[in-house]
Amino acid sequence: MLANRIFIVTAICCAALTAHAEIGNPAGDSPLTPDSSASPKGMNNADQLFVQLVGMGGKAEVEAGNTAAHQGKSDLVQDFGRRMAKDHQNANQKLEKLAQSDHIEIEKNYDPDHQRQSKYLSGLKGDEFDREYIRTQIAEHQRTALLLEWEIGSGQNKALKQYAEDTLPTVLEHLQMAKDTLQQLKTT
Amino acid sequence: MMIANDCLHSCSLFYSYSLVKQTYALFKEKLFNAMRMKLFSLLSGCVLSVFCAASHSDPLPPDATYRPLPTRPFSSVKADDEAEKSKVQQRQRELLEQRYDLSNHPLPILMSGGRKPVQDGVRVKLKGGVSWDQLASMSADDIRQKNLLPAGFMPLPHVKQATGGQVFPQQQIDQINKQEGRNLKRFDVEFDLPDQFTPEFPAPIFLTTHPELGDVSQGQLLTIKNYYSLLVGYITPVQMEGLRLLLTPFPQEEFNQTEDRKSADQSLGVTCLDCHANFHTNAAFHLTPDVRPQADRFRLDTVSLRGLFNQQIHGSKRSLRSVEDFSQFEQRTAYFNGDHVSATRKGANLPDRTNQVAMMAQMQNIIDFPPAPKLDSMGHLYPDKASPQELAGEKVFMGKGRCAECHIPQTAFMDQQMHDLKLERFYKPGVVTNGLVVIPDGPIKTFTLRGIKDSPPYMHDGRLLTLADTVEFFNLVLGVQLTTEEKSNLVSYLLAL
Repeated sequence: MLANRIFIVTAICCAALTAHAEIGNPAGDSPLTPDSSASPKGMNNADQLFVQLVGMGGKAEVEAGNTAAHQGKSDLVQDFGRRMAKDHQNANQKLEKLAQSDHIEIEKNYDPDHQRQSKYLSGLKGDEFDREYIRTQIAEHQRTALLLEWEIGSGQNKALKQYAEDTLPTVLEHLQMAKDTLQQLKTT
Repeated sequence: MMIANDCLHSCSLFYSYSLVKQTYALFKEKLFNAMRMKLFSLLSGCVLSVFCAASHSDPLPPDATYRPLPTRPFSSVKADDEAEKSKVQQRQRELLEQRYDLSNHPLPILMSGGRKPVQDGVRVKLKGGVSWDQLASMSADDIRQKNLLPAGFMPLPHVKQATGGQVFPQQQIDQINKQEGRNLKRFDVEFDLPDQFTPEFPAPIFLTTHPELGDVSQGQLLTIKNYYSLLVGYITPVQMEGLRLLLTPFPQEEFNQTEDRKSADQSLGVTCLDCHANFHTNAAFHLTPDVRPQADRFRLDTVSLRGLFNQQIHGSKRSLRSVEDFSQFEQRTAYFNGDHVSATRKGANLPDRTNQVAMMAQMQNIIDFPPAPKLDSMGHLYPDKASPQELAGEKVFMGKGRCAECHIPQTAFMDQQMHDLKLERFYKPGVVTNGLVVIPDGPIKTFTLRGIKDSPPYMHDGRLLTLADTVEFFNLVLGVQLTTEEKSNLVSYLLAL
């Protein structure tokens, strides 16, 4: 009986896991499927995954930026944090609008990686905070740039692809700012 | 005696046992402490690396690297591709017209086969009402801020970036169809450049093993159907076998037997010389196999195979060190976009290194540059054979123009190096044009200039349509501020190489 119960519980858990994993299934629609013959929302798997990943990442950026604006030791880092919070708030709002018009809800909570990162950073102080924050920002913006480029190449929904195209130059600018800031932190 | 012995024996055993037990206990304690320390540091390491790796445990989606399998039926993908084909071609045509003057202005100078004229003039269009001289006098930063870099100097997109793949010019498609009954036509895209900006077709073939013969092609395109009768007696058995392999079709990403293809019928595939026609180039293009994600991959114009015998690095973005390496690997890279997984599914040809690859290299290594009667053995002009403009151009090339710093005459106008021209000083990366995300080009191989008039368009992606365009490009990139006369002389010189 117990064995049966364990089996059932495990099966339910597995099903739940696979249901969540489907959105990331790489064997999705061909990126060249025109809107008309796509899934009802006019989005392929790449589009759907993109919305979730960039949505969650964007929210985490705003939170991290606000933390840096208050907790950062140097002015450089505080300014950078403020700029991130502002720019990503704008980008998030645009994405929310697009998601709403396609009746998609973006995950409200950050993914576990960003939660861990946020907790780690909030435990740091002074120079150490500054350096670690900027380092994580460099990695985050590299990943975001590639994610946007992936959407541009593999996505299908025109509005989302345009959103990715419009956002990319700013993300690359942020990346350059982060690299420059780290350089300056190293020399002061 | 025996009892004493036994006793002694037992005592010594007992003693040994307790000694062993004590030693073991000590050892165990030390071991335990050591293990405890190790475990602690391992755990701390794990914890730290978890924090440090916090942003890496969920990687980017796998299809940012790997080609996803199609999920829609071939017939519906084909129908959609055909329906949007004219829109795709139109979009590329508009881009070309916006960037370049595409009109036909031939020079009274023919390419080496004597069949096609070289195009004259600068074709790249200027932006914002500035002249070339004004542009050359501005700083890179200024040009970047004001967005004045001519669009024709920016990376040139593939006709259909999301799909990419090899695209053949119409003449190649027609000849292969006629001779072999093999169809190189794609139902989703067509070649985009006007014919006047491509090499002559079919190109002449010059052999290093027979400089006295000149062009041995007899005006024909080499294919699996005619290669033997054309060249038996001229080449060795290993060269002949290498040639046969270079002309044998093998499966390729767009031309294969699966449902993931862009040829209407299942295809036997593509041969090496389908792009490197007659060991030269027919201007067929594809996307670099060395970059991901798809949107970042730059366009690659086919290079000529002439003069490979002296070239030590191969591949514009990679620096493969021998023709053998290149021949061996291209059927995972140029053919399959650097995706050996997709290649395995569709049937990649894996030529054996010691025999097939060696023989393919044997044949490629005997292809000569076209004759350049005005050049001496060290790549310099004979003063009594060259015109005053050509000699003046050579002076610019060796001096003010700084061309010879990379294009060294003595080593076939190459330096066996890759160089980063850092064109991104002049533009802001991240802009998207026809699906191509423009990022910095990075280091690219120096290309030979011998016979250069025979192989438009220029640069690794073919963004520069004429030699005059190339001179303007490097004038800006190197900041050498050439005068109009110097630029014109330089072009005359390049035509003589």
